[in-house]
Amino acid sequence: MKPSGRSAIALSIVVVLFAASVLFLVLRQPELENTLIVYGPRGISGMATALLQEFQKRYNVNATFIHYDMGSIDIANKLISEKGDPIADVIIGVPEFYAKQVIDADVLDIYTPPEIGVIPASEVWDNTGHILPMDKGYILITYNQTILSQRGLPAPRTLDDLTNEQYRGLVFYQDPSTSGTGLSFLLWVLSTKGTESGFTFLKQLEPNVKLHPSGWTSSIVALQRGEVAIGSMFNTDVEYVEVPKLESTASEGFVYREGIALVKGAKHREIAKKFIEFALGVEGQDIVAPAGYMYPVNPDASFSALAQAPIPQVQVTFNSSIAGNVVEWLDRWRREVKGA
Amino acid sequence: MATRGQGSLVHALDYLPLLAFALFFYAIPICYVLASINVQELAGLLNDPYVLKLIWNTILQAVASTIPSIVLAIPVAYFFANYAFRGSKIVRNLLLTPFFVPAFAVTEGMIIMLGERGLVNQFLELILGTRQPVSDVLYSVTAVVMTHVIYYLPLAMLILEQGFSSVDQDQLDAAHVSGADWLTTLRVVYLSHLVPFLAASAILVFAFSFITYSTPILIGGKFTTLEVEIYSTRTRSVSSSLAIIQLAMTLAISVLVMAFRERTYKSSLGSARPLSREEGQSHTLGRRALLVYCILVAVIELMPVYLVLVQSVSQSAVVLFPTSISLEGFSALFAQEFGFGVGFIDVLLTSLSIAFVASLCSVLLSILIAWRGLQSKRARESTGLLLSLPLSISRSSLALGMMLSYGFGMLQLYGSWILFILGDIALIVPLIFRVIEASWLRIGSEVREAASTFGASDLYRLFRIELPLIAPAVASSFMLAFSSSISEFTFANFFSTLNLMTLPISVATLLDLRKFGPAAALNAVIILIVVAAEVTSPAVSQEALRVM
Amino acid sequence: MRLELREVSKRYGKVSVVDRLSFQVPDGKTFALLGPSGCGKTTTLRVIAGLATPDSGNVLFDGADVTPLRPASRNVGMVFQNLALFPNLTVRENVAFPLEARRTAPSQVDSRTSEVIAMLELVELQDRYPHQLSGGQQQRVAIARAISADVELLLFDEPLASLDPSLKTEISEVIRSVQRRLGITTVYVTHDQTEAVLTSDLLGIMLEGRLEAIGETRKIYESPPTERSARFLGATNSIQCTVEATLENHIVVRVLERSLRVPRPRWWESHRNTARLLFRPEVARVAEPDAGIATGKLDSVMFSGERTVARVRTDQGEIECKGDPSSLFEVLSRHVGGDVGVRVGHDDLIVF
Repeated sequence: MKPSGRSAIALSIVVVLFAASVLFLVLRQPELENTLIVYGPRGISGMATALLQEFQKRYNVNATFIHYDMGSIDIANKLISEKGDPIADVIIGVPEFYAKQVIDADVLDIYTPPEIGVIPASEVWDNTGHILPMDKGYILITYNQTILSQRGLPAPRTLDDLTNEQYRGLVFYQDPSTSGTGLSFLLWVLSTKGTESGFTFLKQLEPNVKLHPSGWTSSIVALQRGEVAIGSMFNTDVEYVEVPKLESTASEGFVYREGIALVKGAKHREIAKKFIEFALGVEGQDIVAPAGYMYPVNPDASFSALAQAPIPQVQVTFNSSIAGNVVEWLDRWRREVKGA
Repeated sequence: MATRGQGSLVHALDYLPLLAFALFFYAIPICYVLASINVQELAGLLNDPYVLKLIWNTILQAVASTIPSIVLAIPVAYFFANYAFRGSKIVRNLLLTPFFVPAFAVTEGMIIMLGERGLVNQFLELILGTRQPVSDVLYSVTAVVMTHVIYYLPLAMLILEQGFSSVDQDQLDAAHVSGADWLTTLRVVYLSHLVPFLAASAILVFAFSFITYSTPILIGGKFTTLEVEIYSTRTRSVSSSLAIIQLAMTLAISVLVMAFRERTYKSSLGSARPLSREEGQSHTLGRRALLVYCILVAVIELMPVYLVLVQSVSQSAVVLFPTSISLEGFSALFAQEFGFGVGFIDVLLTSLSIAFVASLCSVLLSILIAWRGLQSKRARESTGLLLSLPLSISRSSLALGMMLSYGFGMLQLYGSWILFILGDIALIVPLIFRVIEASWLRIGSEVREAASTFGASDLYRLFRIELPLIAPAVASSFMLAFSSSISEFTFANFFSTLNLMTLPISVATLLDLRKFGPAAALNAVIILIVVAAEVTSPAVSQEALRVM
Repeated sequence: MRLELREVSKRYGKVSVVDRLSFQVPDGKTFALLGPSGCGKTTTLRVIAGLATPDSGNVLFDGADVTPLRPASRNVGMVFQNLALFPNLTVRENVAFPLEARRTAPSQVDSRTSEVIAMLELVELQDRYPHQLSGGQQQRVAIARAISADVELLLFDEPLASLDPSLKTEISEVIRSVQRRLGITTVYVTHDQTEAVLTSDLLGIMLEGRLEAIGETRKIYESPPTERSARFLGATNSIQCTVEATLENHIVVRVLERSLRVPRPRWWESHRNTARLLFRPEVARVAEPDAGIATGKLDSVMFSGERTVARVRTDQGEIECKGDPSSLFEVLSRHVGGDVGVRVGHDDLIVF
């Protein structure tokens, strides 16, 4: 075939494929005009997706979850940076320990849904009414019994045990800069020991630490691969992760609490309110356990899915009187502990 | 070359496509990011020992990545330059796989290889008979450096190959005839000719290693780099300040790149007689050793990717050869729902469509930039400089910038596939431009002048002469673009929504949903698509990735 | 078409490559621009074609200033030094290119292309690609391509430089036959004086960016106006002499106690006492010691095909003699080391 004939055919194929691709992409293009936009950390995308899917079906609206691959602090900062012209309508996964910063930035509106009457007062941790409690979980020291037995090592019982030399290279906790779990661990330490002693402890612990996984997923992978054996995980992981088999002493744990809030200046205010009601109502709260492996705050909601998980006897909550602020601690952690 | 007066106007217009590209895809997004810079903060950072340590760390690992990449690539480059064999082009393409698949696929493979219960340790335990793991190299700067070498050795090899194959055959013959041994030949003939190519590949590998971030995050353990810090602080103004520091440093590198570029280009075109390749069997000890070495390098290069493929079909996580094949992961993948009514086929078609459209647009844009930007010597130099910059710009900063400027700012494109295309184009054009440029320049100015003299307008000449002559380079750069787009993760991370996601994002989503089997299967699918593109791409040879 | 260059200058950096060049080529004539490499002749050609913009000066076609025009608008045909055939087009397509690029009607393209292909004897080769052709065949394609469109000006840039001697002859024949048939104004650039003289009506000698000499080829060749141009045209032998008298058409000079009458150049100033006599090796023959215009030792004798090349060392330097046929090689060889003279026809002497 003459070259011009060949190139004509090649060209036609390219044009056809191009047209097909564009057509495909245009046709499946969702419109964001009338879409509820929910911000939240990457870590809870499973739960968020499930919630929004159910919400969409029920109310026949469009909704989307945006995390920008960010942790809870970063996504909160992102919301703060959009003050005055916010993209999001609702923010979920606002952690208790960063609530003050978000509220002080004045980017949230107070909304008190009817469902709030059902939620026990003990679960409500924001007295200003901006952030409504949505779910909680427990961070524990977990360990891989198989590996410890192989090496003839006893199981760690307390935080201080972790600094024991025999655990060198076996310990991990997530990078607090990117992981809510890791940040919880950091705050657990600071809440119980105080700021200065807390950082001293972490520096002492560091030689035993093999790595700081960026999130829950990489933690599980590292555990599965046997790279590490002891570290901070959620209590539900003890029961519901099959490989590896994790144990926990459950003597002490940190209570991780997160909430949901209406964004000030939300473009889809009415739908946003509906979503908050949904999230706090039984239907939404029923999803929290199976989809997010967290505990619902609505007492009528079921968390039978988590029945087997060990609840810590001593529950450390965020000590809001610790001097300092989370962002400073994160910087300090990176400089003095990880980067040292 | 119009009138003296009009000349400058026409020449100015030549820069238009390039400037438009730089403005739209880089300058504007970066401005959105830099808008939040605090000058005092910036000054403070420069005095901060932590930051200085970060910079030092970053430079160190970049240097440590560069030297082995170059040194180990040299014999392989020599081999490909001097010996042709059936399928050598395909083998050369396949070696690029680690560079084009998503970083997390390669690091996954590295973990399988180097982990405590990894292959290397199992092997060592077998040989040495120990119970405890021997190699503890994972989650450290060593692992990062090793991974970089695997990514970038093929790049270095491609550049160096051009150096080796443009050596003057006559000079080599003269050396042989005068009885010079190989060491003397190396010193006298090769070294001076190769210096620009060595410099070019070194600077390139250095630049890429410098802005690395997913590799340190995934297997660096406690080792951290400047880009990781930028990424970690990206919602705060300090991130912009750090990005400026990084940009300044990589700008300096790019200027160095430019200084060597013209030398490289001239040096490779001026050879009196092109190197003659020897076909057929190698029959001396030296050649056999070289062949063995190259096979070894190829095996190591492809091992991480291979292991990931094996993992996707095997039950157990760490094996060299699957004892039993299970397609469970794949079947689960096909049934998986990722977001809102988005199934696997949906994600696959979305990725393929985006890749196709982005590749086509990138290729056309690159041709446009080449057509105007390579008209005169001065234009060539500025084009080269401008397009070197993107190779070393903080990807997370750029992604954030695009999100702010086009996702929500001027164009409100968030949630649209168009944003993905824009991100891909930004990353791909600087890369494939080199391929197209090399081929373009080889046409020679006399042929172009002939066309003009005989009455051809610039446009006529473009379609009748220039495009047909660079057609192979266009085809291979399309394939390179396609592979890049399929694997692109950084931008997609920012742009994805629950309804719109690409294959790499889906891997991350599957992991979030704790579906490890399908995640491994999806990794394998991505790798297979990239390999398919590489194998079907025509000779990515002389013109290939001439990134200088 | 009448070509004119007026005060054309071109600098590259600090170097003045073409310096206030001016000349005219009447319609249908061939102008050979002769000069050593680096003298600026190729640059001049490129300025005429429009591939280089002069820093000052004008190029005029039939009195109209074409300097602002792009190459494509100038209607010239050019044969490039490295041919620059389009590798992706067949011979026929290459030849048709100038017609198609200028949007000629397809039927005209066809007929004209066939005509030119036949003229250059490329009919059997027209479906081949350039890389499938020999050097001489490629050259013919380049020429065909240059003339296929109805051009006003033909430019040749060292067309024979890369050819073997036998091909040189063949291709220069082709070029001359084309010139004769088409009668297009032509500018021909070369460093080879034989080539220049063979192909041109007008000859210009360019040295260091300036025209050293220009005029009818034969006149320039036989009476180069400057010593440098004379040397460039091959008159590499020179001897000193004294001037005895200046006549209307001749000058009487005295050399070796003999008086000679040599042609008087137009610029000759009457008051001159001494002069230099330049002559080409081709007109010098070895003779008896006291017969001729110079005398010295016979240094060497070499056989070079048709001629014998002898070198005679005189007190004024070395004289090269190529006037003796090869049949005299044996005889002359026997005289090596001895005293000989150099004989040159009076009309072959160029006086400066």
